[in-house]
Amino acid sequence: MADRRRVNGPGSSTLPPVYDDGELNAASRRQRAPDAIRPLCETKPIPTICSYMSYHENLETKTLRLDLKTGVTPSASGSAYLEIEPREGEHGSGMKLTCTVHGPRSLPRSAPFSPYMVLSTHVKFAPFATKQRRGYLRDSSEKDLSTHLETALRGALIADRWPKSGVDIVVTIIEGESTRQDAVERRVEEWDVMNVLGGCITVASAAIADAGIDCVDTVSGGVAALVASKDGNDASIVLDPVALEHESVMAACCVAYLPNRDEVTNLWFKGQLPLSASYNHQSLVSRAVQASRGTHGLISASLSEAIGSTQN
Amino acid sequence: MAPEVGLSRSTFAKLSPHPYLLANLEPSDDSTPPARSNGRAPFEVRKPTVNLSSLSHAHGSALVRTGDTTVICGIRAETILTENIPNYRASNTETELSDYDLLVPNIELATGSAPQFLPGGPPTTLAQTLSTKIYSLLHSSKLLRAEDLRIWHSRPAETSFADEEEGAEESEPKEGEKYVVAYWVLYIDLFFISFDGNPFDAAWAATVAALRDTKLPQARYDPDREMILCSRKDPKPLTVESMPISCTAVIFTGKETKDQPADGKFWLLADPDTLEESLCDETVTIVIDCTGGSRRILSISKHGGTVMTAKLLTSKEFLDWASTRWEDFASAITGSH
Amino acid sequence: MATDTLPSLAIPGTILGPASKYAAGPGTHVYGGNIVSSLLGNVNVTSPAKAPGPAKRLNKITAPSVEELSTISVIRRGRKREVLPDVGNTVLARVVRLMPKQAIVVIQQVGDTVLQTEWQGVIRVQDVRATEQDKVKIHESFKPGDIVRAQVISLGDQANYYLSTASNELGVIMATSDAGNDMVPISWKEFKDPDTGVSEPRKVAKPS
Repeated sequence: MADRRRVNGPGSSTLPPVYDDGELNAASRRQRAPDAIRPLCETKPIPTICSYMSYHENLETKTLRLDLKTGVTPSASGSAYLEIEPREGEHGSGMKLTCTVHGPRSLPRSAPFSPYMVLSTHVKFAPFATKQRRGYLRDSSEKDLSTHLETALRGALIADRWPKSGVDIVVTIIEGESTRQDAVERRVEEWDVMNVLGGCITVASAAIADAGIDCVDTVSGGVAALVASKDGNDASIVLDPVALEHESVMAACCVAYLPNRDEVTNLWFKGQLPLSASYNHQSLVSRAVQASRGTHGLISASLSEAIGSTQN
Repeated sequence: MAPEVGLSRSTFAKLSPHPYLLANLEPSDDSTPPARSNGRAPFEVRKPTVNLSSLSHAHGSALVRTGDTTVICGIRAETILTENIPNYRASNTETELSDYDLLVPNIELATGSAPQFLPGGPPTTLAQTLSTKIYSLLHSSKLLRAEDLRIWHSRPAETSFADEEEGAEESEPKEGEKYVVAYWVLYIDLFFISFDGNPFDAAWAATVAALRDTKLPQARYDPDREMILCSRKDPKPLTVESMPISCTAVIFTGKETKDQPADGKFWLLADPDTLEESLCDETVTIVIDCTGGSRRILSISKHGGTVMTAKLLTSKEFLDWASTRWEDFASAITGSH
Repeated sequence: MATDTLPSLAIPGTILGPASKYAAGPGTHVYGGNIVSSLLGNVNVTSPAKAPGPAKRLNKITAPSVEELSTISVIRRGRKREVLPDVGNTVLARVVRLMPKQAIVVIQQVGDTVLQTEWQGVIRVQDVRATEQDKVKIHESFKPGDIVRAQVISLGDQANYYLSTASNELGVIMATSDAGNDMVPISWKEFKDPDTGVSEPRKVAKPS
């Protein structure tokens, strides 16, 4: 049954383009990147905050470029925009997320009395965010992400400072990772969901801080994955994995971490560890924590810069 | 207004926004120029900025920002075989775009773009209205050429299909002749990142800018697999020659209740923000195209109220304002290539 | 005071100082023996208010009490933050609906802070006036659209804050007549339309 409240287009289903000449080579894709990635964030007079971070500790140290700014949606109580650029010389596009925080505001009349702040999270992919066009109705992966985000944030909020109030946190994924056709064919999107969750946690954390809602710590997301190398035998752990770069991903883990308290508020672990491997769950989790420490450095830098620049 | 209570400016603005706006537009002191609550002069607009091609999964995209209203438009092309179009007629070369629904614009406000737009429900009335307005303006403005969306195929000489649909008696394609095997369908998705009034102007500008940015892949029909195959080499830009721009203003009468006799005084507030939209009943939108120096009006629509007369709508002052606004948008869109 | 060791900016989770040396003010909390910021903002330290007169002679060795410690608070300057109405606050509210035993209002401002979100409040008939409570009629006290200055007396139930206007300074401060004109207060119980000359009953706040 078609949704009459939207424009649905032709009755029978349409097909996304199918290419028969493979992937563009990396060089030609990079050509449009420098200014193609920038523009979205020129939204506020706050100076561009770029943190060049290198927290890849496996042999080839790669630079992941993150860009975070707050206050992109002035009518919201708090908001933030996060952009993760693809690594130099790598395939694939980055990730772009916005988050708006509305509240604390009164609960709907039907809601029961709550001595705490009631948190609700919404995560939505824009139709143009991923390789396949997404619909407007929330699908199961978006609901999954919302639930994970909610637990990640709930552990950080001081909810009893805001009795009988509600806060809505809305994350919109403008661009998710995995540009390439292979991503669909090799079914690696399921691993990309981990990176998306990490981004959601980070951007929501910044937006909550912007809204002035009390938190015990600035929660940040981090992802680590156990990957097999090209020859198929050597397994290693990478931080912020790009699934496409690796022959196969065996397991991945996303944590929401409070660095000053050394606490994990949400942990999502997927995949199977090989029996023989010298890696265990703990090592994967601790590397994910390491990744989120890196992200935390970025959030603190950009938040401090945001208040610094509004001082005068 | 309310002289008996010493209220601060922000309190006054919150408690009685209507008299507050009136007080700003009619300053008691001659030395202060009339201004709106947001500090702009009545005819002053928020300068638009446009960024193109910021999305890598879309065939074309644009981000348009006017003040605190920010909208991002992503255009995705998908294909549909003519045999799957129920009302397909090969003779139709005039109204393909609308008959086959090849343009699919949708607006999403529920990104928390403003406190009243939260996700979790069906699209709001405003979102539905905006989608429909974009849809009808896309068709009525003749912005796109159907030719750009056709995918041609040459029928091999030896095969002949007798299963053409009811259009058969008109011009049955001859063997070896080129015919349209499929169309591109453009999904035009508009996401509001931030909302502060005047959504239509921004959304329409984003649509035009994104269409100008759109490049479709080279496509051909593979008869064996009965599907469209595309090539990544040399994508072809859409032909968008015109540049229709929408200019919106609201009319503020200074009276809160409609049943009072209007004393004839009113202000035209260009490019209204959310607060002004909530205080005014009458809205006027003119869609204008000044490409090539001549001024063409594509549509004028006016809702609510009775202040805006036909004389005023065609006055030089009003049309000149619209032309200036067109310049702003046109240079922002073309300048960002 | 060792303020120089404190950071000037803080984000949630920033450790500001030991709880033995400082007291936790707004925007902070205590964790693991430290004052920790719970907000994004600037760090302020306020010295304890000096006790008037000569300090009392200490005849016992005591740990300094909370009042003697400097208070650390974190406040974001130049930006409004949502506030919640709290018991004892004076608020400005707009009357939205009348019922025989209560008036429903929407709180617009708490103290000096204009709210971005709206909280519903209720003024029950027994909370309208301090005296002659049994003679009070809701429809002779308020009209929808009036702006009322009131005090929060309770967080109330799930939907409403409970407000009171039972004081001379509290009550209707802005009212519009049936004809749509702004009215002026003429007594403790009446507003008058200066254009039509018609007066209407209200619980009038004493003009300040």
